[in-house]
Amino acid sequence: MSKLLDIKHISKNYITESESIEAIRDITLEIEKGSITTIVGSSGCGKSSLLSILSGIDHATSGEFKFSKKDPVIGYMLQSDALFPWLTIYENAILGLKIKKKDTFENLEYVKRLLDTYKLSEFNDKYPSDLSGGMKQRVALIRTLALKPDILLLDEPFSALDYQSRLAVSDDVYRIIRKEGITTIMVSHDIAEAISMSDRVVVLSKRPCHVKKIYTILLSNKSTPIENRKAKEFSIYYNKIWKDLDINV
Amino acid sequence: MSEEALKILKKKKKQKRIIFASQIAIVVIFLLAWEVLASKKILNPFIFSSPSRIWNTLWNLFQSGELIKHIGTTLYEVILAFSIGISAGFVIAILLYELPTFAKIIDPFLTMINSLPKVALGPIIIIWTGANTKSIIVMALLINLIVSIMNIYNGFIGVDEVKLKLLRTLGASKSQVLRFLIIPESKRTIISSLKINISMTLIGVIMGEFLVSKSGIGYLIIYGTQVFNLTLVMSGIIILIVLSFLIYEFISLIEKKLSNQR
Ligand SMILES: Nc1ncnc2c1ncn2[C@@H]1O[C@H](COP(=O)(O)OP(=O)(O)OP(=O)(O)O)[C@@H](O)[C@H]1O
Ligand SMILES: [Mg+2]
Repeated sequence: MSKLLDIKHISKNYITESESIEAIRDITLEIEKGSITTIVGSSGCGKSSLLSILSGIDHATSGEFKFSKKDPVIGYMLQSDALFPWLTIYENAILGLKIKKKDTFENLEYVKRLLDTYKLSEFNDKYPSDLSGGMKQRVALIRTLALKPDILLLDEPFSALDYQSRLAVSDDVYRIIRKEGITTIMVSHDIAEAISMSDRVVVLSKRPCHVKKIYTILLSNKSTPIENRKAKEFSIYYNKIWKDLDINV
Repeated sequence: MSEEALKILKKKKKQKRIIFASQIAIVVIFLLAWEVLASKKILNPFIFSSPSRIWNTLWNLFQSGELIKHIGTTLYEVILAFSIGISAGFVIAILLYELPTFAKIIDPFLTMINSLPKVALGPIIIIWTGANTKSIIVMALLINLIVSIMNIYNGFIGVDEVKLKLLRTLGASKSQVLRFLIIPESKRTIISSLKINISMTLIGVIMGEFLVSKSGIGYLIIYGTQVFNLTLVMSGIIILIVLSFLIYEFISLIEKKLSNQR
């Protein structure tokens, strides 16, 4: 496998009127092409900040990151689906294409195919309020995939869902990402979700965050996220990461 | 439908009828009492007038064509001031949104103008613009414009942060953010500001007509006071009540129509 993204010594300080918050302290990380990396860390440690920096909507205070590809397309999916309630499902799905003025016939066909594949095309003319939380999340993913991103940044994409749909949707999303072969960095606060979905789990320390540990997830018979939870190595990883996170209950 | 549901429906219908009948009864009793008290001279009809006198006055005004003329004048001014107020409010709100530093600079001045009782400016406006329709429109704009701007602007800055972030990650330009998010999302705020705006516009227009005194329902009322014809004053007030009620209902209708189409 080849390297897609090289993150070197990234730090981030937020300066507000009253204080300076050190969110990230020297994060260095390499991302392989086609891999799924999940970042876990305690609440408020700086995970979203890192994704914001990688997405380009925010800047690092110091350090740099480099894609091996020129002008990479970055797909960024936020915690809430952020669908536009006044647009139909189809219009929502092609929003990114429209804004980037890439709504060519070919790309629109691609979106239609995605909607079809993920059983959403019968809702094309419906509105987000007609869909369940999980379906909306899938539409948001398709909106992101429509741009054919080189890398997918997912910031707690399932946290707004109830447990049942969370499992189902993460399974769906996993399948989609794998099938399309997209390099993914995901943030999660759910250790089980992280292990079951990823090739690597990066554990961040408390704020200011740095990389505390990186686990390469090797399961004896790797399958879908739901199946992966049954693997015998699963609980070993779980306990280790739980300890690393040092959660005081 | 189940028996139970039918029963509830029936009960609700009955309640609705009772409410409507009571409302009619209140109006009828009020008018009757007024008429009787005035004809028995318990209420001085010279000061308090009476429904029959008002009716006669209204009828005469209608036959002479005066009624239509005055209503037309007021309506014309209201529509003009309302349309200008809403569209200018919209454009200025966009400017403030696009120029946040400018918005911060003029914020205290807007608040100051907003809290000033605009009637106080009436006499100056008349001197500046002359006693004509223009000054009435300016008066109404003074009252409705600031409210429009603030309402619409607050709708703009209250826009969902996450959606804004999403558009930014998609690399949307400022005008795209406006077109794709800000304007559609604040449509609701804009629609709901229509109602406040129309009330403000009516106040402004009537106030302007009081001051300018040429034509319109406000003029009718002021003229009635000047010649001490209280029946005419009351007639004017009644026309105003009916007119503002109809306008308000009309705006509610528009509001419903607009908010139904997402
Ligand atoms: N724009 C900002 N201005 C000032 N401080 C900020 C800003 N964004 C984030 N912070 C601060 O930086 C720290 C890290 O925030 P961040 O959102 O990256 O954490 P997180 O790990 O994603 O948290 P969570 O688990 O709650 O999602 C927090 O203490 C937060 O208050
Ligand atoms: Mg976060």
